[in-house]
Amino acid sequence: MTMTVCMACPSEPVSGPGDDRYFVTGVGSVVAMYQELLEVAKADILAYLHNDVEIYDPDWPERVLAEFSDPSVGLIGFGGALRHGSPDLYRSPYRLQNLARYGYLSNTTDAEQHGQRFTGACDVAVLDGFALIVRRVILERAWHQDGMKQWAGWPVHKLIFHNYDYWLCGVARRQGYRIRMVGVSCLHKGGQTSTKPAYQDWLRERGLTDEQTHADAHRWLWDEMRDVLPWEVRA
Amino acid sequence: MKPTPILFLGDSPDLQTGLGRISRDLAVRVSSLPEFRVGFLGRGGCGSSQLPFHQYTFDERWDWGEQHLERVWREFSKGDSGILMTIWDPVRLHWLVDPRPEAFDQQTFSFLRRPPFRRWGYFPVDATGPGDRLTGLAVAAVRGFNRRLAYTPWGASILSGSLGTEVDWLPHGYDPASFSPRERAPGRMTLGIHAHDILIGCVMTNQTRKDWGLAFAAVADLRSKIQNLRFWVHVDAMVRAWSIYALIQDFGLADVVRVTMSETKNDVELSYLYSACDLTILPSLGEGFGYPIVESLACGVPVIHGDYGGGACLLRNDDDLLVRPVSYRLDGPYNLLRPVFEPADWSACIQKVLAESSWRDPERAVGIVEHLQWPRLWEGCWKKWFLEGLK
Repeated sequence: MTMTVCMACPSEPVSGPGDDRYFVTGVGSVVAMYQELLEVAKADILAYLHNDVEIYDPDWPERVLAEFSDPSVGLIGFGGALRHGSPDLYRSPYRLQNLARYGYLSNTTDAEQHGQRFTGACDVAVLDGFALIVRRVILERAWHQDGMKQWAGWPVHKLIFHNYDYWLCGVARRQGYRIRMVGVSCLHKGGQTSTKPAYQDWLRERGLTDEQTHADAHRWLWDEMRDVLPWEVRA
Repeated sequence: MKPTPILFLGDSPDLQTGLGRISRDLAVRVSSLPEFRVGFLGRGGCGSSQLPFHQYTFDERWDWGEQHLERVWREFSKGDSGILMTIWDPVRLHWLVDPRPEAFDQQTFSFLRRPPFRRWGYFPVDATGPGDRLTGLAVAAVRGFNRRLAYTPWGASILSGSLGTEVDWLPHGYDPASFSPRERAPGRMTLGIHAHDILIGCVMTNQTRKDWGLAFAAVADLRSKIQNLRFWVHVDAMVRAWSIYALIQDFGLADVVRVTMSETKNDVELSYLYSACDLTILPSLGEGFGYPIVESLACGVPVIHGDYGGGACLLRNDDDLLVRPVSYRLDGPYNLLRPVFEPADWSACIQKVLAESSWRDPERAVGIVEHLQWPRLWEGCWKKWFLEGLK
């Protein structure tokens, strides 16, 4: 089993690549960059990490790969929630808030601000996008069509920046895989992309706003994932 | 895996009643699941070759199927255990969970006492009772079911309070191919209504619980306030619990009212008539769900309803569409609490909604119910509910 670290750096370039790492730099859609990384990285396991994550556990690759030794595990992250979506999600009128996640666990430096600190490993319903480590085959089985164009991988035609984590978790569930959260000690700075002027300008040039892409992404997810939402796992 | 037999029991799926429609919609969709083999024991009607499941029917004079269930189950199940899913008021089903020996022969009595099926119930609750509980007969019936489901959160709260245990709920759906916003002109032409007329619609069956008297009193009150008022009445019988003729005459509304009969319009035609309206009203005294509410909104037309029962749940976030009761009274043999309304309150509510320009955009009304479109609701809710029941 091989693993490649894939990092999209939408607002500023970083150094690299190393032997087992791929980077895409530039300003634009994170999801499109993730697709580019899928197409160049050849490993069985792809570790999509935000460029503002600092990992303090030196043995995190071993912890993650140990989880993947179980073939039922398809997707792993460093922060996840036990429930995704309200029970009212599809029986009541659409509300963005009904797509919220509940029971968030992580081992980030500020874990208590977002939920509960958890240093072990457990099944979760959904992961936060700052760390998504996925079996390549899950993405290769996710087919999309936009007009005459067909491809496997990330939904670059529907998502730009928001909700790609929710989408990937839904796809993993749809394919029958379990999702695991591993309590790797790390720092996620956050707010390093969507609030940056370069990204805002990129959106503005395309007649978009971050608020609108956020709203559109949720609405699309609500429509797209009704077979695997809401979802809950037992603690 | 061998499919599990599931026999629906309710109004025949070929009938155009609300319960018939609900049963049909669910049974058709369950038929698409390889995990189930679907049959239907329906009251009234004669069945339809267009439906993808086997149907057994019995005449309405035979009550609620108690004399037919054993024979039908044995024929349908082919000896397998399975599921009986009822789509009826619980007071109609007491015999199913607590049969009286004097009412049945020994074989049927034994069958009902130890049935080879699990009982799943989808229960309409259109009224509560004293202490916000259903009457004892209904509670005893619901208690005998293995799985219980209400139509609305209101119904679920009444059932939960009556049983002392949590009851879940799922709404019905509608077919967007039938009910969607249409051009106003064709429907108005059908009714002989001018483009500048203000058209209020009311789609209700003719039964005691549907307060046609209130509808006419409210429209009569509006007549002096709206010059070019027209009132479209869509009903299944002119004389039954109410005489529509007498109401038209006594309120002096002959020049205002346009009547269509239920059996003359299919769903698409009905959607054109809904779409021709400026708004519709549903002045019933409690709805389990309230299909005319959903249909009107799906056609892009706001609907005004009383703030009581399951129907009000759909309009909870659009408070200006709900009319508050001024009092309550008990009604009928099952001690059902019914609201009492003041016609002037309905008249005032209608005027307020007519004056609100945002309702002229059909998308506002459609947005309230678009989650109930069957393709969405089946995948997101009902399919999961049926499959979870097999675990």
